[in-house]
Amino acid sequence: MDLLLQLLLEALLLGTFYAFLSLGFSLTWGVLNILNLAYGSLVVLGSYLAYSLFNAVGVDPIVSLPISFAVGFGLGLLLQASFVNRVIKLEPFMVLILTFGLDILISHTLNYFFKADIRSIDVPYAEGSLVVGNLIVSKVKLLVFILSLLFTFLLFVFLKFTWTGRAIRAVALDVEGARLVGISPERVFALTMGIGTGIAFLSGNLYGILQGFTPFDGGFLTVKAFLVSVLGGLGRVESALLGGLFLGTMEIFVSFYAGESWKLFASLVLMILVLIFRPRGLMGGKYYGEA
Amino acid sequence: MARLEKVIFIFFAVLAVLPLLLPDWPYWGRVLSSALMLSSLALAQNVLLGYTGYPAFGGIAFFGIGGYTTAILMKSYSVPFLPSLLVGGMVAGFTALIIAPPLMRLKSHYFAITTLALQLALGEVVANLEFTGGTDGINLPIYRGPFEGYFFHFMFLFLALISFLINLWVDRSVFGYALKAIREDEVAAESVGVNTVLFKSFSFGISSFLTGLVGGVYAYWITYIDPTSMFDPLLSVKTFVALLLGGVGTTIGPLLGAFLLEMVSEIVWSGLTEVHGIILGLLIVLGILLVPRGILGVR
Repeated sequence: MDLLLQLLLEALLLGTFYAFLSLGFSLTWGVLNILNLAYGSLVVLGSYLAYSLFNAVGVDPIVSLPISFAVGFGLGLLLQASFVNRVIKLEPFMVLILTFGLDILISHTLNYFFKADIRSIDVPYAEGSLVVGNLIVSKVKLLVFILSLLFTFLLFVFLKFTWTGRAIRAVALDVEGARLVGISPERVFALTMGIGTGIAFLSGNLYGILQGFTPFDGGFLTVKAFLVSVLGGLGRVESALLGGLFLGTMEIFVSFYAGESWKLFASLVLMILVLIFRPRGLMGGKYYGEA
Repeated sequence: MARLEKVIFIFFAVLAVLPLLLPDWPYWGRVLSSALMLSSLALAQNVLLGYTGYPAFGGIAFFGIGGYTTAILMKSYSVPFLPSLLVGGMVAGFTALIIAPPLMRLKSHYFAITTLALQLALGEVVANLEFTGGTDGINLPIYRGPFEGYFFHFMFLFLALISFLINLWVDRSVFGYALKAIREDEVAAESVGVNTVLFKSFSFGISSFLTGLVGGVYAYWITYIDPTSMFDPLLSVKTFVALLLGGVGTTIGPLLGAFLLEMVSEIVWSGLTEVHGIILGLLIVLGILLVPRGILGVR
């Protein structure tokens, strides 16, 4: 019983992080209709940014969170300005190849500068674990969980209650309709790309705190983001939470009962099955705007 | 078009006598084998993407299946190479044929992503199983026999020729017309009596059979295979870049693209292994942005 509770707790902590991680991916997918295969590499880029800030300048990895978001936001705008506008007219499949090329470019550039060694960011005040009853909670995981939940909540409030958030949801639902009521889809696209990449960098910062990373972690992070997005459907922030928790639970239980090496396999099989049988996700909604 | 296709046959003939003419053959043999291998892979994908309209981004899954089947038969059951290779290709082809009906309900990037997930999942299975050698991989025997040093050049040349002939056939046959009808409008094709499930499954099967054969020859050529090299997403993307660069849905485009990509990469970065990936990534991004319609500019 204690074992089961412990595993469920781990799943909750991990799943919430996955939910937040996937939000940038599902947001750009839902609004711009871009499946960004470079998303995982953007996350890793965020990890290396936080790592460099910590080691070179001594910036605390919690203090670097706003910097990560800002840099990611800027990079998102840059990506948008440089080629996303041209890409959006291409066939979706070409976009896949293009973003895959971007993924190769980013991961190999990181590998060139940082080499393939596993790096990690240590948070001195979050070492060790708490013991609650019979449960053990690592402080680092708890910290990442709380921050992920906070950021997810902030995004939820932003999308739900601000005018800008409403504009984003409106464009996701119907570009022409949004244009009719005076929203500029181009500005919304740029903003979404900025927020999406900002979230990638933020979660990269958290990922660096949570565990060690290498330049080539991007691939399976993209798989996770994709899986959470299709599991929940590109519905709402809430459905990302559902998808994240589902993935977290599955990973924890598969790792525990079948072994760490089957974890990715289980995710991939689940992804194939969901795509074939429930391509609109378990929750149904296709776009952010759909109720 | 027809004249260009004749040129391709002459090109194949030249490649067949080239081993006698080129100095430094071990080097050029390796370069040409790589180019011919990529050509075969691109031609195989062309049957599916170019004529049927389904992008199997994870088509390299069948490269892995073919390669591993060939390797396991040769290593664990001491079957000679050619029968092993044929079985490898057939296992790949039949696997595709069986999974096609449910898988091909998906279209465009959903199909692409699902096949990519399949490729990665197979890589994970192979890495976790005992009889596939796990992450340690499999060592194959080294080829000893007639035409040593030329054998793999001729094997890859033969595969590229077969793939090219199949593309020619698909381009002109009734079978090909059915595939093109599916590519243009699947519902319309269905309504004029094309059994779309059957035809697109066969298209997937043929493409995967060829891909499996290439995987088998590659395994024997390289003599050591492991899950990372046989189910490599980089090879998938290279195949599609070659195909898109040359021109999708043409018989000569894939060959053109593959040779161009392989030659350019050989000349530009053979000495720069450190930045290999960076240049490949840049090449893909710039290629898609600057020539999204391919050199031949169709579709």
